[in-house]
Amino acid sequence: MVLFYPPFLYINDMKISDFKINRWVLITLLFGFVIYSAWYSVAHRPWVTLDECLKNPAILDGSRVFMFQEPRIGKLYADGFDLYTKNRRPMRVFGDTTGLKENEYVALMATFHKEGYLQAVEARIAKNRRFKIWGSVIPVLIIAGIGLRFFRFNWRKCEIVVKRHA
Amino acid sequence: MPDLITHVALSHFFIRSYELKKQATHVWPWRLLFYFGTILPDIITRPVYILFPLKELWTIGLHNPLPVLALCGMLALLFESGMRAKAFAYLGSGALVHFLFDSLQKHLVSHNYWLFPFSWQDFSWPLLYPSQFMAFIPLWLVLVFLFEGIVFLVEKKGNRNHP
Repeated sequence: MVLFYPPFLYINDMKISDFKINRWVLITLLFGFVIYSAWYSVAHRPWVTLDECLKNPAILDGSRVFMFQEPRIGKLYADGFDLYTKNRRPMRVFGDTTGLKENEYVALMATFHKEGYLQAVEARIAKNRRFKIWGSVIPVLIIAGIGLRFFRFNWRKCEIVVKRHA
Repeated sequence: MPDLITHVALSHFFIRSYELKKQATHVWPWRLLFYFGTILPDIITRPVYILFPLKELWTIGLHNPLPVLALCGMLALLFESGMRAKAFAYLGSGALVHFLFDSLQKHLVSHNYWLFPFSWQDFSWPLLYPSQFMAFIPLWLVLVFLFEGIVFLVEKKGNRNHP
């Protein structure tokens, strides 16, 4: 089955568009690139995570950390707060607590110290995060609903087609 | 990222302006693909890290233009043969509009890696925090209705003048 004609490109006077690429081959290649992108962002990112800092505290002492899993503020103190993240015990963060609230999600950039605490460089609460998440579901449902009205999947040809009345 | 209501509402002006300029007819399926493109970068990444926060690192790379365009290509290839190029154009331009709005958002650390996976250069022109974008949702919705109202009235007047 043919299905995709690449743009006009020439290699040694040979026109690539003379070849027909099976669309499933192309879909597989594109999917491969998507998977590669996900892997690359894990393997070659230019920053460290809190997990890595805790595994190698001596080496990563003084590292800047800004990615936390679902970070929430626990108890607030005069000189900082307890930071709750997924699957980890609370961690003490020292720094200015102006504008912070208990039980709120927080956007945090901090310096890791090998003694097992963080020094906040900048921290601000992520206001209305829950509303943002649930509010974002509304357009997804609307678009999906209208999409089902206009498109259908032809299982025999394995293609999405526009419904006749649309 | 701004919330998806903001994304769709703002991108509505892009697609409607284009349609009006082209005087396009039979627009809904294509408009829908454009809207889908505008939400695509978030629906492939946000649910993953909201439901599985420990997998967040895997989603950083996916929320960038090249992987999302690859995904748009995959989706476009699932359409019937006559629609593929146009489907890719609408999905892809919707996704690019998404990244444009994302780059206007303030973060402690932004992740707008437009050249990923070739570079980790961040492309941001931060204007507003996410919560500030959300405060404008009623305004975006009013503007959309106002825009559509004006277009409706102008078209009605045009039809009356050209029977």
